[in-house]
Amino acid sequence: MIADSLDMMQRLDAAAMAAQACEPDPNLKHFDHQLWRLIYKVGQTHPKVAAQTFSLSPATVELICDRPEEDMQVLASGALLSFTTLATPQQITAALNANIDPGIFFEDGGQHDADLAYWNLMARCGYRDPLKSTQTFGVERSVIDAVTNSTDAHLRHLAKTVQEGFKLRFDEALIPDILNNRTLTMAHITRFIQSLGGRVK
Amino acid sequence: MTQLIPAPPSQNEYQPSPQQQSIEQQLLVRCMLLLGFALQVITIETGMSQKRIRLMRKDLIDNGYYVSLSRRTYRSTQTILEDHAGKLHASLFLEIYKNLGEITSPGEGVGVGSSINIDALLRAYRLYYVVLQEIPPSPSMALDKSLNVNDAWLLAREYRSGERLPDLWHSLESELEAITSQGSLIEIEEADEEPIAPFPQRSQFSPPTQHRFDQTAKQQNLLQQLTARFLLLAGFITQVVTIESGLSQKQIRSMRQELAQGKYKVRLNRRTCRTSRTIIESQAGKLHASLFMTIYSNLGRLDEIAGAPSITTSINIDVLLKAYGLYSVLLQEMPETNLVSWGNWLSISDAWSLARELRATEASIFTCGTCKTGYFESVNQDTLIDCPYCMGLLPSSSRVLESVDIDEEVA
Repeated sequence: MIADSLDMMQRLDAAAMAAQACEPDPNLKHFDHQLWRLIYKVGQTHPKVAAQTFSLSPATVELICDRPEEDMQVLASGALLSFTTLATPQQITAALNANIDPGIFFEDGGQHDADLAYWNLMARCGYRDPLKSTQTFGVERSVIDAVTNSTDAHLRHLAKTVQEGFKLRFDEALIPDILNNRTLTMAHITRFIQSLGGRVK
Repeated sequence: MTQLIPAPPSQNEYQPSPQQQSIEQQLLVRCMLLLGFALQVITIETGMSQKRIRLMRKDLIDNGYYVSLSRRTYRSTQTILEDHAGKLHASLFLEIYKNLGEITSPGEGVGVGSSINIDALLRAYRLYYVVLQEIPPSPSMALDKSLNVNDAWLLAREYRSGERLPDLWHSLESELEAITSQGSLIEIEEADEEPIAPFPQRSQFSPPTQHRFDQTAKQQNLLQQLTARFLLLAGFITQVVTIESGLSQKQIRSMRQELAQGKYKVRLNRRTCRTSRTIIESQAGKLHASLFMTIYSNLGRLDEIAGAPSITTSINIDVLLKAYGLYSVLLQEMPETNLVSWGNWLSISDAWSLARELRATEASIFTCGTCKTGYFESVNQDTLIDCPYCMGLLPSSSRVLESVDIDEEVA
């Protein structure tokens, strides 16, 4: 019977059961961890650059740099990225719709790896679930759709031409509480609710 | 919290009940109609009568789906292979099908004695279709001789039955070499060729509107059963499944029992839904409700922009499941605590219940004047706390009343 090889019912069953089997995405967790480590590393030698790139206050960068590097793991999340891009949807769309020559990127590869990793991760998550990715990355649906539907060459072009930096998605005043407590505090919950846009600006 | 524990999947032990077989058969027919298979092919593969298939086709057309009015029978192998172009097309498709068949059924393949692997067949057909568009025009690979899905199915069947098909792969390779030496890829992209469309385009697969519920009785029944099964496996309690699917409690219980007897282990759960009265009886309960409902309303608003009904007029199950998934992940991300009340996470049925209260305007998301953060507030809740974020985590519900100024709350 043809149905044996299509397994439609089992596919539906698997989709239904997936709702209760969600786990933090290791790719997101690793990337978020890398961003915090980047602040830590750059902050050791160029605190102003770190503060400017990630829209943090000098005091917060100093606080992060004073901690052991292992503590950066505590700040990383595998559900909601701690940072979101400062690029506007218009900038992103323009870069993704530009006429480009795919060949030129072999000449200056490796210079925008962090940015490229960010957009690639967004494309990967967006392909899996565009709606949920809006919350994961803190961007509009149009941005997720544009990134997901673009080519690799355009993502490289985006990483190269749009470098507006990042901003923290929650109040930086929560960072000391999160770093100092290994058990649940209100700071942990507030961090997520603010990342979800639950706080009115 | 988890009501269903999937057992390790085992194809050999999988024995669907007659009711499930009927649902699978209907699903399959529906799928094959949308893919453009001929009536005869669908009858052979599903065992359903042509009369019933025609009725299902009419149902689909009445509901705005594109269903190609293909011929009743498929072409013969002789017709497909009557000329050089037909043989090339057949060889190209079969080569892809054989390779994908080996990958999807390792060790078994799709050769003599095996069954038709429809999954591999559809994937192979799609790849064949893409390859055709990449090949520059050539009399030997005339596009009007391209295969349709019925031809592909027939070739797969003939191949399985051991019928000797002409091995023209070597001539195809030389043909491709000759073609590719003629021009670059850029020139191919710019070639202004008439597009071929033996396969329905993506838009034709889609229903005319995203949320359409005016199906005919047969479709409605199929949808009800699928919805019920889906919701049961997603972990909803019987009461919710009854409301959402429209089936009787007896039917749902029977379906649950059938699932439990099959390969899924279904744990019995409570019969009725909790409301905010029992969900939100402490600060922790309110935090859980606020966290989930913030995600649900965010996703619901975005889905509404994409054309879905507002979550204030109907419960969006798709969004609910996504929101619940994200809520679960966030809880896993949070550090451990010894607060007993915090461990009382929302179940998926609790989440549905909160969404229902929002729809019924028994609840809303308020913004705290102090911390400017949105929180869930229900008329049914059993706590005097307003904003759950404006104080530290309270150790137990009994301490709530001590720490909250009741007069201030009432004011």
